[in-house]
Amino acid sequence: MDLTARLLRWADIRPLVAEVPGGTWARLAVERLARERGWRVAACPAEANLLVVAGTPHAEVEPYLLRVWQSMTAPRARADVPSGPAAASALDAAVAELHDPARQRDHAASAVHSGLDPEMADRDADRDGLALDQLTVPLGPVLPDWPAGLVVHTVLQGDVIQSARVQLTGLAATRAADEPVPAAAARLDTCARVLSVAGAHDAALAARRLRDEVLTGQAPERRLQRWAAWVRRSRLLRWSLAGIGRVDDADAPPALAGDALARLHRAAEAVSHRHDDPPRHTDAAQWMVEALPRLLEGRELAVARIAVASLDPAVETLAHTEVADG
Amino acid sequence: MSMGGFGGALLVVALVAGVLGALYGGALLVRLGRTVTGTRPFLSGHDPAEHAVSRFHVRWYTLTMIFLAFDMEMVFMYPWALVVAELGTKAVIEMFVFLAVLMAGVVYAWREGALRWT
Repeated sequence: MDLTARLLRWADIRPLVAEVPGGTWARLAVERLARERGWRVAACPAEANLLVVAGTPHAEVEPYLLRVWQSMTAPRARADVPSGPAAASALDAAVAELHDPARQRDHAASAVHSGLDPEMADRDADRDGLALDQLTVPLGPVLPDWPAGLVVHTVLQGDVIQSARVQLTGLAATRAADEPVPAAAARLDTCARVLSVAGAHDAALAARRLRDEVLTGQAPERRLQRWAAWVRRSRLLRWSLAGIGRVDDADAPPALAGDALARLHRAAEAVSHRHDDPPRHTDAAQWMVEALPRLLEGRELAVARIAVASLDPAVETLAHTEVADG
Repeated sequence: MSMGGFGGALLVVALVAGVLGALYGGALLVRLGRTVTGTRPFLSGHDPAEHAVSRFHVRWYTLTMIFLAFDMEMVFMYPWALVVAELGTKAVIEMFVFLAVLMAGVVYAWREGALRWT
C-alpha cells in the first residue's frame, strides 16, 4: 500500500553500529555519515531499525549479530560495511531496503519467536551477608561505545559486579595491514566514548565531529582548544568521573595511570597540543585485558562501562586468546 | 429528559468506538506484519541465562522506609494547612515538633546506612 511506503519513508533512521575487530575505519565512516545525514545512533536493538556491521565479521561473531538482528522488529535492514569507502553505498542500499514495503513485509513475516523462557535467577550470599539473586549479564561484543571484540561476562547482584570474566572474540578476522587511526583522531574517539557513557552527549558529539575533521585534516585549531578547555573545566565531568577505573599498579602502562578523569584530561591535553605519539599499544591492551576482571569486580555496572570506555583497550591488536578468570 | 442523558452516553460510546476503530483499522491497513511478542532483552548479542524478573536488593526497602517518613509529613500537613491560620502559634509549634520526630527517624535511618548505596 502506498500509505505504508510513505510512512516508511517518513520514519527516522536509527542505526545500531556493531563494530567487529578490524572494523574501526568502517565504524568511523558510518558514524560520520550518520551524523551528516542527521541519524541518531541507537543504543539498543529495540530503538534501532538499521543494523550496521562495521568490518568483516568472523564466523565467531555472526551468532551475536544474528541474535541482535532477531531482536529487531520490522521495519529493519542490515548494512554490511567492510571498509570505510564502502560505507556510503552500503548505507544507501540499506535505506532503500528500509523504504521498500514488500521487503519489510517479508522481514515482519520472518520474525523469529524465541524459545522457552529462561530459568529464574539463583541466589548467592551478597556483601551484606544476605542472599540475593545473581544475574549473568554479558557486556559486548555488540554494544555501543564498547571496544570491538571484547566480551566481559559479569555476574551481577543488584547493579554490583560480583565477578567478571574476559573473552575476546572474532579477532581472527583482523588484518594487520590496516593502517592505524592517527593518534589525535584515536584519542578523540576514546574521549567521545567516555563522554557518551558518562552522559555528556553534546561534548561527545563535538568530540566525534572534531575526530572526523582531524581525519580529513581540516580541524580548526580554535575549536579543538575550546573543546579541550571545556572538558578540563567541566565540574560535572569531574564529579562523575573522579575515582572511576583507578589504575595504580606499578606494572601498569604509564599511559593508563590514574582514574577515568585523569585519563580524559590527559587525552584532551594531548589533543589540544597535537601530540602525535600513538595512544594505544599492544602491551597496554594485553595488560588491560588481564587486569579488567580485577578492576571491575565490586564495581557498579555504570562504573564498569565508564572504566572500560576510558581504558579503551585496543583488543584487535591482540592475539586470539581466552584470558583466565581474575 | 432521561432520554437526553442516555443519548449523550450513547454519543460518547459511539465516539470512543469510532476513534478506536479508526486507530486499529488504520494500523491494520498500514502495518507490515503481526505484532511481535516474546522479544528477548538486549544482552549485547547473548541469550539471557536467567529470567529478567528477579528480587530487589534489600536496600530498596530501607530507602522506601525513608519515603514513608516524608509521606506521613505530607499526609498530616494538608489538613493542618487548612486550619493553621485559625489555630495560630500553637498549631505551628505542634507541627514542627511532629516534623522533628519524623526527621529524627530519617536521621536515624541515614546513620544506619539506608542512604549508603555501595
